[in-house]
Amino acid sequence: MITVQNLSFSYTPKQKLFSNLNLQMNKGHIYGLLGKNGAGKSTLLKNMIGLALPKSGSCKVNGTDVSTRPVSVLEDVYFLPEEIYVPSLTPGKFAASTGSFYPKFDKGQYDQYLKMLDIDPSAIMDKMSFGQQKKAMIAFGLATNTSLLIMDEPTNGLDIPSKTQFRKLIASVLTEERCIVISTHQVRDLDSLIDSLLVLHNRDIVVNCPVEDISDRLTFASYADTIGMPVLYEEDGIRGKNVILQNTEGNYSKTDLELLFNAIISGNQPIVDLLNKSAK
Amino acid sequence: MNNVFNISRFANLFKKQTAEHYKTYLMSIVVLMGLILALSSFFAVMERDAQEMVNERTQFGMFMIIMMISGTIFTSGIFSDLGGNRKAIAILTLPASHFEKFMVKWLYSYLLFLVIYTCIFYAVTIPVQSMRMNEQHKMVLFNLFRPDNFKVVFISYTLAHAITLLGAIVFKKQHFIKTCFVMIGIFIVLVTANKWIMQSMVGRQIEGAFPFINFNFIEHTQTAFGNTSTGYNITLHDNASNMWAYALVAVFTLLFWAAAYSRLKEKQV
Repeated sequence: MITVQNLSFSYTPKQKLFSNLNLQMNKGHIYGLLGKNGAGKSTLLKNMIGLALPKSGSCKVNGTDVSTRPVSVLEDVYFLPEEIYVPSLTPGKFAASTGSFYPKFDKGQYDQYLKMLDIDPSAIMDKMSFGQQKKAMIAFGLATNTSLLIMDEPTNGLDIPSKTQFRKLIASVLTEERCIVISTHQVRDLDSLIDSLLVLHNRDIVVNCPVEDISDRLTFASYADTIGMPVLYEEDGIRGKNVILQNTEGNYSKTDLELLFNAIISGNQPIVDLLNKSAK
Repeated sequence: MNNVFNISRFANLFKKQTAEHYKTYLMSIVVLMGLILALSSFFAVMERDAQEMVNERTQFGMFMIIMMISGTIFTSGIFSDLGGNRKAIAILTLPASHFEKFMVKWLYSYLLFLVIYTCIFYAVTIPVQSMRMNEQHKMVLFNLFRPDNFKVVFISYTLAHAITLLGAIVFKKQHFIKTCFVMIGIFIVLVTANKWIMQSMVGRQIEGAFPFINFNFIEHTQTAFGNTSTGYNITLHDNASNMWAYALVAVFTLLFWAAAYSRLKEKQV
């Protein structure tokens, strides 16, 4: 679906944001792209859709280079940026003026998603609150039925019930023909939603592996005391220490994405190595 | 589906542009009508003792000045959405080709502007002209479609449009002011450099030279009656000069439009 090959990108000649970055994403998955503020998540997403142009290397969607923004790619990709623009139209009129550009746009689905997200279809979009605007655009993005759906910090501005509704919606629209990429720094928002984890750190994708492989390789647990335990990473928690251990016995534990993310960005190479081994 | 131009996609894009901006356009039309009405009325009152309400020359001047100012301001703002990231993302990721996106903006700021402006001008001027301020008054109406008038209007607006369209996409903010500033700068450099080049070509002091049009100099001669000075103006004859001017305008216009299109294709967020 998406192939990023030897991508190098920089905003200024002196400071490279990415250098020879490689990444492959496939249909039928929901990818969670995690990274610290300023790691380049949004820039990477923009490169994937042709909004930012690489200094060298390429980004391809279904084999087509996106840097020229060809219509054949754009009509099969929907990008929801963090800061959205909505025109001074009702959601219905917006769908009438914009839906026709997406061959698989479904007005029935759009109305249904608007209802699920509690959006008034007769309200003027630029008069709505930011959260409402975002939900209206999420509904539109889902109704375009594009093969690739890229969302940058989609849960920013959403209240707690809307985040829950968002997770349900995303899970319900995933098909074998669709790839969804969600970037966020609010790791908990992606809990039980993503099936593949991408971590962008130090100008590179340091982890790209299925969530089920994580729990095969690592164990997440809380202990009062970890003395003498082969702990890979630990953090102080309310009930003692939250730890990550190597899963040597094949036991299942729920992946604590936040703990894992903290471990990776703190430079815990053994965990990164274990995850990358599992990805292969 | 064609990645460069598709008529149904172009029609959809045109409809989208209209649906999202028609309120601003309607307001602009009303403002323009008010401005023309105010100026026409002013001149009508000023010339209340003359034979004609507002003579043809004044009407033509008014038409040109308002067209150039309003047209360039409108064109300067036509790509303003690309100056801000939020709107730029919405525009650039919309599934239509760069050519279609460019053509919709071009159509609005060039062809549609000229047609609508002309209609507004006559729609306001005709009623004002028909209000006779005294019994001697004759109604006169300047004819845009007289070849001389049409050429001046067409050439002036075409070149101004091409320059401001490029400025509209090159600059992120304050497009109009920045475009004017750069154009004045370029003009000064061009005139100065042209004079210097012409002087070195003809090997004498030149008084003035306008790029691609003419140059003039003064020749001092000593006679039995003292020193005399004769001024010479070297220029192409009218036909050649006109042809040269048309060719230059055409070349520069196409270059500026092509450059604006190219900038749109390379636009990043």
